[in-house]
Amino acid sequence: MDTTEHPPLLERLFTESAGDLTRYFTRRHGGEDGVQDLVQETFLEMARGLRDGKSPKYARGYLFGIARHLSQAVWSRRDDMVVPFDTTTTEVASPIQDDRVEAARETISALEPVQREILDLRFSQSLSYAEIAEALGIPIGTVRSRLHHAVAEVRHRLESEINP
Amino acid sequence: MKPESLHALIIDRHFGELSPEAAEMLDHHLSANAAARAEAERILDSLNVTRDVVLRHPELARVPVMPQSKVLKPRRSSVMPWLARAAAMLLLAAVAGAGGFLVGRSESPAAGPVGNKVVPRKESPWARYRMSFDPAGEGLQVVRVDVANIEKKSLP
Repeated sequence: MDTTEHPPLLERLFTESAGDLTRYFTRRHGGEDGVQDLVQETFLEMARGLRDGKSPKYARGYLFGIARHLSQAVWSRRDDMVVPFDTTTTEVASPIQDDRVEAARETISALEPVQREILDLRFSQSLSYAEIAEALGIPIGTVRSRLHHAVAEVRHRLESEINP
Repeated sequence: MKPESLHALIIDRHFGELSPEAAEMLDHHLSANAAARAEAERILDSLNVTRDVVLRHPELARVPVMPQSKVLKPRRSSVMPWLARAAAMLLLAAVAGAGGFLVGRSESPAAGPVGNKVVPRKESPWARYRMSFDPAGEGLQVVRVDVANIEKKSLP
């Protein structure tokens, strides 16, 4: 495949985002050998899209959109639906009391799937609202409102735990 | 400022999604309003807990993948099933008619027109006719079945 037309963008994206994509796939599929294959496939899909005339406004968001589709394709093929705990994630900054975390976890798990994906892309990948919108194929306003709603739900739950 | 607006502004600024002008106005508001500052602290606390949970539990981002067999297919237009049903009914009627015609033809006696038996009826000013099969093989006949007169006329 000829990707010579877009080497600067692809090279820049690879340099900037290959590590993030590896972490993204690892979080979703565990530390499997296939993670690097998924990263490569993501960039190949990106190259094909560019070759076919796609001109995403937010390239990083577009890249994560491809990664998301590939990840879902893997899940749909696998019988094992268990996602292992990501032991490589060490980004948890402050130790928060477990009961609060558990309450918040329950609240977040009850949110819509797209809301949980928005939270994940924001907190684990630091994607902007616009990039998340590009990745999920939804309006920026929806990203913003769903994020606000999710945090409001968590806050409401935490406050009800303190003052039942 | 409404609590909902403050909530949105605090989160947007935390994520760097607020314009510098709006961020400056927010800071000014917070510096002048202790209650708003306390509210902002609570919002940020919720945000931090949310962040910790998301990072600790990657399985929460898992979007359920619907099995291919359960994927809902788009509904077809409601016109086509009715057309199909109507066509099926017409076809059924045609087959039944043809079948009946063939059975009647095979069972017809060699002599005498079939079905031209005179049926006495009440007096009527109108002539009565009946279709019958011509045993000579010349097609259908229209047979008058009046009690008084019986006349036959072959169809062209």
